[in-house]
Amino acid sequence: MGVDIRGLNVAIGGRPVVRDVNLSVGDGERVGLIGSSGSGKSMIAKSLLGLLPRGAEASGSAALGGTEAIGAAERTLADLRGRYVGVVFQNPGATLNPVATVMRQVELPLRLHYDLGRDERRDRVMSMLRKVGLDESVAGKYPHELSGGQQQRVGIATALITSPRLIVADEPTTALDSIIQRQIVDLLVSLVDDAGASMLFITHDFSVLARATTRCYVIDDGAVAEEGRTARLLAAPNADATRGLVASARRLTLSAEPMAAEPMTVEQGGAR
Amino acid sequence: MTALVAANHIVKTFPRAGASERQQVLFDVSASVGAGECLAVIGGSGSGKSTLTRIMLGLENADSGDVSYAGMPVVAGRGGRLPGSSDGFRALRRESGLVFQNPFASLDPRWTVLRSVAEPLVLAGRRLSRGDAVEVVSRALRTAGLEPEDMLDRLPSELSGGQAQRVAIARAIVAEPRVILADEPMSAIDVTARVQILDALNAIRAAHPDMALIVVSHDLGVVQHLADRILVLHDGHMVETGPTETVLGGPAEDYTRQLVAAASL
Repeated sequence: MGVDIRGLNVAIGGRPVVRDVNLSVGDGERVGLIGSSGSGKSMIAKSLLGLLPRGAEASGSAALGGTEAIGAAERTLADLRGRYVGVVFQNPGATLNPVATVMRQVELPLRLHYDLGRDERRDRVMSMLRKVGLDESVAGKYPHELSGGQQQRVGIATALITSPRLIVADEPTTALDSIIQRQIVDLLVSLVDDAGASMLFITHDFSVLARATTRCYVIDDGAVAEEGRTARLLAAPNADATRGLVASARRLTLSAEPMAAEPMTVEQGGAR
Repeated sequence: MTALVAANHIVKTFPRAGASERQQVLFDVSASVGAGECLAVIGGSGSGKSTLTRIMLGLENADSGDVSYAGMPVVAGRGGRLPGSSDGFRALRRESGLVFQNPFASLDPRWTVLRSVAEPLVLAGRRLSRGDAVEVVSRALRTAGLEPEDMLDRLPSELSGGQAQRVAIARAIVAEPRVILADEPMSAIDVTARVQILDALNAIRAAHPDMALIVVSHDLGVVQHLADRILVLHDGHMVETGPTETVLGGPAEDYTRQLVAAASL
């Protein structure tokens, strides 16, 4: 089991932000966490990674590849994050080190968590850059010399360089334009599937989720409002929160008949 | 329809860091918007859509080409001189409203909603009693889909992203401009709030039938319910332009087809 969360509660300053959440991600499964801003979806992922803000109190269980993250020592968590999980963040421009070359960024997790020679590390980085669709010449460049889409490809390469079993992607395409968004989602899906890894994909947008995941959890006010196959939630949402998110995604999505306001077809809503 | 704002054969270059030759960002692009019309300028990051629309609103100078507002030339000065010399420029600055991507960056964090939204009235030299200002600001907030009683005394820190962007929209329309530029007004907020912004912009068009609206976006899905006409830019070149229905229903160019595909579920 990739991720197993049972009865997770998180409070910040006494205010509950995650309420009795049960959630699982099976081996090789791509699962979505969807909710509006402030719904608590990112807090669930942060609990799992041991990255909760100072002052947050967590109870219940959040296990990663069988290792409990709640209450674990920082060394255990750092090792989990380094070897078992790769994280792709929303804003690659802000997460990349501005004074390190692409080579140095991408090889850093290998230096920290693995005992490999310099040549071996460089070979792995070059092969990873090719996998994420970047030219080898990018290795010597700095983040500011790259476009937003290229920066996110570097972010993905850094997350995947240690061959993690689980990828946590937190709004990885929100900062990108729509064509690049689609390319990045498709790239993530193919890399995760090729590696047989699992993915937890966090977003507010069903149109992205439909491409990235097969199953998802709808988070509203810190709790799971609904869970099910992504295609089913899109076609027949039950909970109010799901209906709102699906309706919003549909309003902002081109229909086959572009100027018709409602309704739209859903036959492509499932996993690819 | 005669154009309210027209930009013809616009060429624009920027200096490139560490290089002697300049980087060209717009290649002979022409665009116009008429009174009551909504033009959407669409394209990916780096397509030049923000630069083009900033030039149309007189916020930036073109290297060559010309811009006119209500038939008057918007004169683009050169060599770092403020392009404020022509009557067309001054009229355009006075009669236009702006909405940007990040609402929190465009609202003063220390000012209440009332003060922020009333600011364009003050800048325009309108002398209003507090009561009159509250009334005018309340009307603008309502058009933008916000409840004034609940909003007037709030600070930006007490607003959600969607609320803050609607406050920014209320400020853009409060002085009854003839043209509004909204540059990626929905990119920084979540999907639910994006729909609220879309509804607010449509409500504003209905309430101000003569106002021209220029919307910049990378997302065709966002503009399909808003724009009358679409201009597609790619790497500084005009890819295609036409009525929204035509461009979305039967895109003539491969790049537009990619944008259409990316906006489909």
